[in-house]
Amino acid sequence: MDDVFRALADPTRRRLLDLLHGNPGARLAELCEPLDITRQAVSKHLALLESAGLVACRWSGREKHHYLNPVPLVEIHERWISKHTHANARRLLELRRVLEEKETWPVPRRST
Amino acid sequence: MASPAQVYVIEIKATPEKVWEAVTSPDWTRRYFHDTAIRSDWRKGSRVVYELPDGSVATDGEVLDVDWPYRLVTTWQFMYDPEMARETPSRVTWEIEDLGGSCRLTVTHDRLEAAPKTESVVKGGWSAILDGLRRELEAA
Repeated sequence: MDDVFRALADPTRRRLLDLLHGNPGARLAELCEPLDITRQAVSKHLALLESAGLVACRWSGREKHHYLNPVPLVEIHERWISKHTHANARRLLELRRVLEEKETWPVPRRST
Repeated sequence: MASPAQVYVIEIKATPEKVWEAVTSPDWTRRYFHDTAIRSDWRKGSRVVYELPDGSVATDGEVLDVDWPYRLVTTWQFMYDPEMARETPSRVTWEIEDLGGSCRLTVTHDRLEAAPKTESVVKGGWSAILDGLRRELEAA
């Protein structure tokens, strides 16, 4: 679990997880594109994420595909968050989302 | 072009044989897979289903490949929802790797291109299922 928190502590690695979340199976080149760092640096970050179990790799022929492995995050979730607190926390997050997305409120428009 | 495959990896303190048993026996699946019982004779080409407590079929599939206790491939189709029951069957691959004292279990769910609802349903589901499987096995 230390590995997971260490891996998540870095903003570039969190960005990589975001990229993989949106593009499962991405290859190294695709992951380098939106990041402003060297290919070697990306590759190093990926290796660290892989050893922490947050990224899983599959080969198809000579191409290496990367996937976000959500299991360690769920393990953390299950360890500290019971079903009951999960439901309560979800409600609060939903409340914030609704309050922040003002356009979801049916505000009557003033006619001119 | 990204294929909408999903890959889940979990380490479990158990032997490959034990993990295989937990994946393929109804007494185990009832404990971590939404109370369903898995049924199959585990021969290539045979049917494999997860049965709900009332006897109805939750997921239906065909055994595509069996290599006890390391690899199991089946097709996967949810039957409890009419929309998903009409989707093209997807594919689930279970791979068990012996790490000596523990195992690495990798579940790959792919061929989801023509099964968008199945894809979104399993996206949140597999992690919790596998975490449950690990906890049941390690507590045994």
